[in-house]
Amino acid sequence: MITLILPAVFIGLLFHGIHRKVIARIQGRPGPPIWQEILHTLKFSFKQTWIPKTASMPMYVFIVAVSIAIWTGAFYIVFSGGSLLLLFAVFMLHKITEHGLGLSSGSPYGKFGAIRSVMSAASEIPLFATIAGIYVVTGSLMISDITKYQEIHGPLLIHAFPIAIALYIVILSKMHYGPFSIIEAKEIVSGNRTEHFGVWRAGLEVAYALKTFVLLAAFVLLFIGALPWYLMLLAMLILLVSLSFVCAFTPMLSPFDAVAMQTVITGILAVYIIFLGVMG
Amino acid sequence: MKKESYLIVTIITAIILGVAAFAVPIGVEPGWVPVIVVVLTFPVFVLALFLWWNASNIEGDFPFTGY
Repeated sequence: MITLILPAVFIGLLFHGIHRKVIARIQGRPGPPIWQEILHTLKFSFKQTWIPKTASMPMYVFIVAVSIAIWTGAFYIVFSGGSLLLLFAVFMLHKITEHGLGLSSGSPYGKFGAIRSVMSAASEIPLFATIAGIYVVTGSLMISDITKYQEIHGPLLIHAFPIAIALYIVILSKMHYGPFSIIEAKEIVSGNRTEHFGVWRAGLEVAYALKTFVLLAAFVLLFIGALPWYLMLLAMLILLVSLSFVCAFTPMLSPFDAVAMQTVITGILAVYIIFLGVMG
Repeated sequence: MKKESYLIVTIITAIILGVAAFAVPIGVEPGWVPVIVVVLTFPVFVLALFLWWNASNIEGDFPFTGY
């Protein structure tokens, strides 16, 4: 597995760079080179590193390790065809790490980010719709069963499109510079990551690169099916570029609007899933 | 910790990760053991590696951390 995780980290960082590049080009800026995030991570890893006086030391360090660990686990869950419920559990743990990241630093900006992280728990609600919808359609929550189902019946992206939208919203809410990225809004500096600098920030970049890779791969596996690795990467890239377009065109919402919009989307999907369940 | 300590942790975790990589092909049972090992070891490896090449060999000033 480690032989796959290391390339996944680099590809995830490259995806972050492509994300920034696409947003910049749409906004009429040259933007950074696509490998910028790889350099960024290396740069942070060489920067002077210490623990702020105001930080809760064990939590401040431990939360970075936990962030990397949970997305390493998620990588295995997705590529071994594991349960969607476990992926959901990883999402919940990620929410806790987002919160802990902000609280551990002692910085007011970090704490604001942490509070917004709790408020934006609504971003996880469309995942309920995804899980419930996929179960109603395929009769299983195992990713391996879902990919087999698609080999017989065709991609879920076509005949369960609203469910794909739900997961798309979840992934969008986890992207940098997205309309739902209220926990790292510029008015609170870098939000919950403000006080994590140097090696700690480099570790977070590794965790978030893995997160992006895992989420894009999960979407492709769940809604298009199992593909050869090069087509899988191509599909993930296309998905990423579409997300970048949304991020470039949509301003960051206020915390209240972000929560309201995600709740409304989930409500619409709940009606769709009930319709699917009743009508068969 | 000193630079050498970080290097030792990096090497130990790299060896563990290397062994775990071969544990799956040779069919170590139960199969989740190497996964748990990687999940627990990989973060330590990453942070120890970064801290190792970040740590200085020479004595430096204490950084200014505010009044």
